[in-house]
Amino acid sequence: MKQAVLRIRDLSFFYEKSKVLESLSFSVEDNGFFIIIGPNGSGKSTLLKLMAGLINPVSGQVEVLGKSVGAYKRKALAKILGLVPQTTSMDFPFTVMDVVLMGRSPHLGMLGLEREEDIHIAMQALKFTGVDALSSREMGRLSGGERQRVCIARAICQDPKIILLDEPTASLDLAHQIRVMDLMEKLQHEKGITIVMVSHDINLAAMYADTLLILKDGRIVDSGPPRDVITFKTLEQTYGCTLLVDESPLGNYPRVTQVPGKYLKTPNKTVHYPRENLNDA
Amino acid sequence: MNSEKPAVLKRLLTVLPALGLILALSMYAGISLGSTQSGFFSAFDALISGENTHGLMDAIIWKIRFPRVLMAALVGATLSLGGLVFQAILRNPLAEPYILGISGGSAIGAIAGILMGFSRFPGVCLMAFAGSLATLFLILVMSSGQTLLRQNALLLSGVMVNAFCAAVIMFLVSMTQDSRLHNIIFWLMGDFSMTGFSQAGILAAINLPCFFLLFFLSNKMNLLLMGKDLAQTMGVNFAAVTLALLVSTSLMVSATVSHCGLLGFVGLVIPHLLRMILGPDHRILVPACILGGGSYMVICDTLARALPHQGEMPAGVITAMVGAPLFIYLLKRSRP
Repeated sequence: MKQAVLRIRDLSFFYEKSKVLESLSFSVEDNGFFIIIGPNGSGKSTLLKLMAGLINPVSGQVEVLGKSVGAYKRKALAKILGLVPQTTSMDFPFTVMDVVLMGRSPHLGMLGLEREEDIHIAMQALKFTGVDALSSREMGRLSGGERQRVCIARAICQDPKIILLDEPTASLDLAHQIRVMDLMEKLQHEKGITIVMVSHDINLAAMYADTLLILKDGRIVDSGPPRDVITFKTLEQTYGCTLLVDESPLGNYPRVTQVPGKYLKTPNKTVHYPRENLNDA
Repeated sequence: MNSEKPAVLKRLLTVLPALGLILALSMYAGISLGSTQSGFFSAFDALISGENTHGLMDAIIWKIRFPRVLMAALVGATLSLGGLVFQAILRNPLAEPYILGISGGSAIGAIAGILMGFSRFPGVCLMAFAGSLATLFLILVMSSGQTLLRQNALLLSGVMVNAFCAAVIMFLVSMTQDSRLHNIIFWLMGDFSMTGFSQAGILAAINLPCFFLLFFLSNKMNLLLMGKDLAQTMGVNFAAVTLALLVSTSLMVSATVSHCGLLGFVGLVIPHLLRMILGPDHRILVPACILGGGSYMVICDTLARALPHQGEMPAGVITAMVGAPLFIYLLKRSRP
């Protein structure tokens, strides 16, 4: 049995008076690939911020390596947990190398004076994410996909045990989406890092996650391996629309297909739910 | 440990002497030029021979020009650094104490202090500090929420706060009828003409510790530019660092405003220029802004003394004439 690196206990959060998250409890296993999905406004991003210790829960707690996230000093937490936001805007002319080196700052002194060793680590991280050729380019001049990989390299430089990502593929084209997801899998397998990701893309999530958590209106609908969780019934309940579930042509993965309204006029005739039948059996 | 010096220190060792030389040269020019012709070398003689010699020239140089040049250097350094810090906190290259109305707020405090008959220090200075904190708070509240980082919300808030401050200042000025009126108006435009060593000394005592504090926070400013969330996950205690930055900057800016009035756009021109030449790393920019901003203000003040045929004009006239067009240019360029 693998150890839990993140444990969420009875976690609740409110904005003003409206409930965003209600009594969530789950844990993330060491070296897992954990993806949180759910409709807009389900509380996914809030949950990620709570896990990163960026906001404080109203009740309940988040434990990182067995200790409450709020009990860590920022610098100590930065050595355990790295964040990759959805987008990073940059109005100042920092180069790729400048930004990646910032990831070393939790390991350095007040002025963050970097040693040869840190520059070496930064270069390795850029090589790992495949953007080493861009090291002297300005951040503001990169494409969205390149910028995302620089941001991942920066998180790697923190040498964390866990990396949290907020919809890292949301604004990327298909090729870059796969590249970023492959990269995260490589991080999981080669560096032993635990990946926790919020995603909108259920098909990508199904192909990479070992645990999927489905969130709706701040409550957990279901969680477990993608094959068990992605079912017609669960998805309809979560998203409030008809979604087909069948086997991916790659085999082994559930595949979700959206159904345009025009196909729904003749129910039970053109729509089949092979995965659903499989799950019932 | 590696004996190799970090790259940042190496760069500082080349950048700082160069800027230091520029500052020294501009200060020397400021001392030797003026309405009473002194010639290049007689100023040198006077500086070497010290204050005890007699003669009109020595007196002018030691009692008037030297403290004035020191004050100008200190003020230029403070305002440039103030601009740099606000740009980092608000992640907006157009932020600056004068544009945001923070200078205006401290001016209101200072004028109110003058009218209430407080002495320059500490009464007027503390009133200016209170005024700057009040406007800072106002701006942060007005532009808060999701749009805090949006240029438009922030700059518009600043423009409105500035307009309001200007109205209050005009109100206070129009209520004043005695001899203080001329003083206030001249002071408002940014003026160094009434400076002595003791005033420069007091300002230095307040501002130099702020300079050191800001240098020690310079790497945190780099991280702040990545945004609040990322900065925190990279180990920055956001609340503590931001508070230290805001309070120390407001303190040194309001101390400066209470001594020399409103000098606009220095905090925009110098950080922008230095960022273009030296890159965005605050560990280099903080000391560079202190030296470069000092040189710039000494040059502006020297021009303000040397250009008019009779009398002199406030240095703030020159800084605004250079700064306002640059601001418009930057604003136009920042739109996609």
